[in-house]
This record gives sequence, structure tokens and C-alpha cells, in this order.
Amino acid sequence: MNPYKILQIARDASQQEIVQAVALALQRKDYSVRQVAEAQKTLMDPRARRVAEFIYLLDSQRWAQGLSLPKERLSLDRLELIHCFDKF
Amino acid sequence: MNQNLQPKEIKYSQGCPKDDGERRKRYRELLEKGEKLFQKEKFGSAKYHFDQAYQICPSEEIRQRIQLCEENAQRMSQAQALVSQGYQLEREKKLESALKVFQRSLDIWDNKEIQLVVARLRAKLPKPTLAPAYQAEAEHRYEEAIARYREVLELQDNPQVRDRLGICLVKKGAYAEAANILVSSSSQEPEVLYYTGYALARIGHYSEAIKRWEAIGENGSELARQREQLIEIAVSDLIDRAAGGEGEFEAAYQEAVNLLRCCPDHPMVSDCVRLMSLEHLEHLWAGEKFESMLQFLLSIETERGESEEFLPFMLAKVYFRLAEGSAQYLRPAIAFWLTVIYNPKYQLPSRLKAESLSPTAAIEEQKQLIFDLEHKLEELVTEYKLSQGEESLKEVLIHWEMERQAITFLYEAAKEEESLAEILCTPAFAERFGLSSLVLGRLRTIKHRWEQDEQFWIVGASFSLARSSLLLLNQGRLREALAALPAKGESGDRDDEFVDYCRQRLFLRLGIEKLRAGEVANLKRYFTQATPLIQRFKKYETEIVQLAQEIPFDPQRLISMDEVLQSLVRHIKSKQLLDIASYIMSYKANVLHGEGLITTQDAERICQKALELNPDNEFAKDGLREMELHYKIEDMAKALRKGNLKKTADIVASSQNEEIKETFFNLIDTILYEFESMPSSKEKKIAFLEELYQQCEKVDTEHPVLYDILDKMEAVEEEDRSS
Repeated sequence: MNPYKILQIARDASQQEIVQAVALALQRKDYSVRQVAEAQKTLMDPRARRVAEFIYLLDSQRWAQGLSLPKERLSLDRLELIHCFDKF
Repeated sequence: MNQNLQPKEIKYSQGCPKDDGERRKRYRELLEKGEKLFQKEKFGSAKYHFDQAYQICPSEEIRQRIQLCEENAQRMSQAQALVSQGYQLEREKKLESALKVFQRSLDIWDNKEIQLVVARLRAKLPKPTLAPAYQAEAEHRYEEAIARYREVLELQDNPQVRDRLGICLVKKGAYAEAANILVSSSSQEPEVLYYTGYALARIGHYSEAIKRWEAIGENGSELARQREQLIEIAVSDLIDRAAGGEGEFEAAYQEAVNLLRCCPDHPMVSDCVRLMSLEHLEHLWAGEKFESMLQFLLSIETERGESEEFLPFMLAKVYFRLAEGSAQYLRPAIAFWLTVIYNPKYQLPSRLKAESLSPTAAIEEQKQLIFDLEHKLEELVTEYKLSQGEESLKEVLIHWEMERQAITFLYEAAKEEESLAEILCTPAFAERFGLSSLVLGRLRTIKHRWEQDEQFWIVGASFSLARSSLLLLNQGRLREALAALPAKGESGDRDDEFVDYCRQRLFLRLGIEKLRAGEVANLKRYFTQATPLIQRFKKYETEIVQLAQEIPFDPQRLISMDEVLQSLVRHIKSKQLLDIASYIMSYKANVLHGEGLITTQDAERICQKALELNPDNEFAKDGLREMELHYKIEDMAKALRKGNLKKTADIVASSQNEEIKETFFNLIDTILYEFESMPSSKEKKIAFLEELYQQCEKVDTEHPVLYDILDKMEAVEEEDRSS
């Protein structure tokens, strides 16, 4: 089970945030107490957390670094007609 | 038939009405009549007949025909009204207006007569010329130019005029209509191509626009600049559009991919496609739409698999998540997961920066994470065992082991040979991405260091064309493995040595299987093929030695085993192999001799040969002694048969063998028993007994038979005295 989904927390959630998320998850009752406890245990243990992070988070941003893209939204109005091919 | 009429043939229901001959006849007449009138465009009358028929027997076909009659009658009436109006205008000498009205009537209902009227009127009217249109265009009066071009086109279609109209529409800013007109142009004029491209660009069809501009074939700086500008605008627009939702994404992404096909080397376009792909993947991942994600990734693989480095990384994650739910994804999950966790290119998340780990600690942590992630996959394989049962597990486990063995070997070897690090992948992964040759090439560079390690060969074979054969071999499916093995020379130079390794292992396994099953025909052939393998790796030699030690008491299997070992010792002179070859050879000699299948001379010759292989072979030595004994017994029997007692006794005495001695004295007993009945004189009998005594004494001075001989001599004396 995805502990990030069970506790509804971000990748970089602190230990304090995890504890708070556990309380909320128990209130929501979307998952059993055991599942919530498992999720907490996983995220509190740095080793298990790194494994969960790799399995459950896609981490697509690392592949989007350094892309050469326009810095601002460009309008088509900037595309002016050129007349070097005009017959008239 | 008039083209206004529907060409569709209507088939009326047959046999209706069924029960009344008169009504049926009437029904058919009505339909026939109705159809004739319909063809003559007399739709009112036709409808009347169809109505009548419908009342007799309602059907969908007749109802449609009635509806068609009504529609045609209405259209015809509208056209006729326009025709009347046209004639009226012609009478008023308003020829242009009349022409337009007639043309409108033709648009509603085609009519040959009116076509002739239109032709007649056109001939009467002065033809519009292009000069005013050209002039208006040259003076940038585009609306007027457009109107003039349209007038000309109304009279007659002309591709060049259509192009001019399209260009003017672009200049006026009516891009959609302009694009609609210009895309069908076949002109290769730079002006037409440029304006077509421009119109398409303005309506968001960027890839088509670029194609048109590239067809101009001129790399003028002005156009090149605009092309770059357009790409930048397109990228910006497509990224925006893709973020607009699922429906928007599809179209924008497709356009971006099309754009990339037009300019595959443009970094901004490829980056745009990459960004859109990643954002879409993140969106699907968040929604746990793994199947959709997989389909999307597979489409990327087909389109541009080699250029997208994130692809294996994403596929690993998706296959893993899918494999959690369904075992069918386990195999690709294994290939991608292992590749991604071992290959440094995919950099596992590290806490190095966040927690200021030392580089050594970071390396340790990395190893630990690899171990943990590998273990997670292993858990999936184990779960698969529970769900699918042992037989399926065997196959998956072997696949898992092959993949794991290959990548862990490369991982370890990469510590010494850095060039291996960048190609770290599993065999299944390499096969999928066409990397097998590259991996094999790199493996060859470390051959000198690893060739004595069988893992090197196993890994090489698993990346070679023999991969599937090796997989089957490991599963014990030998016949299928043989069928899957590339024929000699089929693999070219690419992976010959690794294919050979696989072939040798397969032949060895086949040979052993045949030997165990007692299928001894052509057995030597299998082991001959496997000789280099046995020569290179001791474990196979030991296996053969064990196999020979367990060989059952079966002459045929002994013969085959002996043949196998003899062929092996010609190439492999190891002590354990020579010893077992010697043993099996002498064992064979004894068994065959014992069974009477070979002569003593042959058995002796074989044992001597066995002793040449291993001079300490006690079994062979015993065998030889046996043979010698046998010879003595044979010689003794021969001498006895000839009545040469002295020679017999000499043979027995020299043999110093208890068995021969016993045989000898048994014979003497028999002779003594038969002695009584010998018809002879006393002297001869005494002489014979003295000779017998002398010879027996030579063999054993204390043998009880000596007393028997003496008793016999006394008995002869006594007998003589009494007579």
C-alpha cells in the first residue's frame, strides 16, 4: 500500500507532519488502523521511506530539469508575414 | 436515371400480402406503377401509388419511398420556382441575376434543360477578367481582390486563381478559410507554399506549416528566422494547450509529436514533447491509471524509444505497480526494475545532499537501497508463486535468476571496468532496446580477466542469440532448447563464442540425460560437443565422474560410458578423469568377460589399456590376475586333455594359486576314482600312480590326495599278492 496516499502527505513531509497526518487519516477512516500504522512506520523509518519513495512517487521532475523551453507565453500575433515570396 | 433520384435500389418485401391472390396482385401492380412514376420524376402520382400499396401491406421500404417522394417533390417545386424567376429576369434583360438564379435552382435540383440555359447565358455575358483582381491585390485592396477572384471562380474553377484567393485571404487575416482553400493546392510555388504554411500556423497546425515552408527548399535567412520563431510560439502554445485537460492534451500532444517528426533535431521541440509527456505521466500516476500510463509509455517507446532516457525509469515503476496487481507484468517488471536500480544512469534517490552523508556512506546507502528494492521485487516473485503454483513459478524464477545473475555480474565487473557501468542492464532489457551487441562487445573487453569464471559465459550467453535456448535449458526443456539454439554460423561473428558455450552445455545435458535413460545411440557425439566446456570448468568433469561412478551393471551402458570417457581423456588429462576412465574400462572388461561377451585375450588387453591410463588401478590389476588365472586353468585343462601330467603339475605349481590347486586336485580325485576301471598291468598301474604321486607332491607335499595315491598303490600291491 502507498503510504503517501494513505496519509495524504507530500514527499518531503516532516516527522511532525506525518504524525499529524496519521491522526487525520484515522479520523477519515478511509483505511484500517493497521494500514495507517503501517504507513506511519514506513515513513518514519528512513530506509523504508526511501524504498517507498522510489516505488510510490514517480519523480518525473528530475527528467524535466534543464529543458530548453520558451521563458514566456508567446502569442501567434508575433508571427508577422514576410513578403520575400510575394508576386504582387 | 436522373442524378437527383436516389440510386439506392429499394427491395420491397416479397410475398406480401400472403393470404389473398387478388390483393397480392394489386399490391405488386401498385408498386410497379409507383416505381415507374418515381423514375419519371412524377413524385405526386408515385406517392399516391405507394400510399395505396402501403395500405394493403405496410412496410418500412414503402414508407421510405413515400418520404422520398415528398422530399423530392418539395425540392423540385423550389427549383421550379427559381427557374420561373430566372426566366422572368432574363426577359427583363437582367442576365447576371438570371444566371445566378438558374445556378441556385441547379444547386437544388439538377436539370439538363437548365444547364443548357446557364451555358447560353454565360456565353451572352461578358467574361470577368483577372486584371482588376490582380490590380486590387497589388494595391493591397484585399477585400476587393477577394471579391474579384471569387467572381472568376464562380464562373470557372482555376487552381491559380484559387491560390491567389487563398493568399489574399491570408493577407486579410481570414486564416481558417485561407488554409481551407490553400491546403488542397498542388502548387510548389514558394509564394503559395509560404502563405499556405502561414495560414496553417495561424490556426495551430504547426507541423503542417513547417512542412510547407520546408518544401520551399530555400534556406533564406528571413524564412529561417520565422521558422525558428514559429517553433518557439508553437512550443509555448502547445505546452499551454496540453495543460488544459485530457481532451486538450491529446490533440496538443499529437501536434507536438508531429512537429518533432518534422524537426527531429530541434532541441526545443524535443524538450517540449518531453515536458508534455512527463506532465501527462505525472497526471496518470497520481490517478493510479497505470494501464493508460503503460500504453502511453509504449507509444513513446515506438515513436522515440532511444532518445527518451526517462522511458526505462518510468516503465520500471509502472510495470512494478502493475505487477503488484497482475502476474502478467512480472517479466517486464523484472527486466526494467533490475536495470533501473543497478544502472547509475537512473540515479536512485540519495540523501547525500540533504543529510550531508560522506561519499562512502552514500555508496553504502546506495547499495542498501539496491538491495532493498531488489528484495521488493523478489517479494513480488514469491507472491506469484502463491498465486500461480509451482510449475509457473519455476519458469519465472529461472527468468528472475538469469536476469539477476547477469546484472549483478555486470555491476561487479563495472567496478573494475568503468565502461560497463553505462550499459548496465538485464538481458531482456538489452534485447528489447537492441543493446545486446553493445553489451557483448563490452563483455569481450573484460574476457581476459573473467573467462575462467563460468558466470562470464552464462552472462554472455544470456545476452546472445542463444538467450531463449539458455532459458529453456535452465528450465530443463532440453528438446525445446535444442530447437531454439541458433544454427552454427547463424549468429555471425556477433556472439559465436557465447552461443557455443550454450550449445556445449546443452549437449552435455542431453548426453547425461540420454545416458541415464539408457539411450546410448550416438552418445559420444553429445559429449564430444561438450568437451571444451568440460575442459574449462572442473564442475562438469566432476559431474561426469560421479555419473560414471553411479553407472549401473549394464554392459551396454558401460560400453557407452567407456566410449564417452575415452573420447574425453583424449583431450582432458586430469587425474580424476583418467582414474575413472581407467576404472570404467577395466570394469567393462570384467563385466563383458564375465558375461561371455568378450574373450579373455580381449579382456586382458582392455585391462592393460586401463592400466596405461591409471597404473594404480587395483580393479584392473585384479582383473589381469583373474585373466592370468583363467589362462592357467585353460593351460592346465589343455595339458590334462593331452595326458601330460608333468606339464599340468608344473602349471599348477608355478601358479601358486589355491583355486588352480583345488581344481587340479579335484581332477586328480576324478582320475583316482576312475583308476579302478583302468584295464592295465600291475606295473603300469604302479608306474602311473608313482608318476601321479610325484607330480602331486610337486604341487602340494601335504595334500591328502597324496595319501589316497599311496592307498591306491598299496591296494594294487595287495591285489597282486592275493591273486
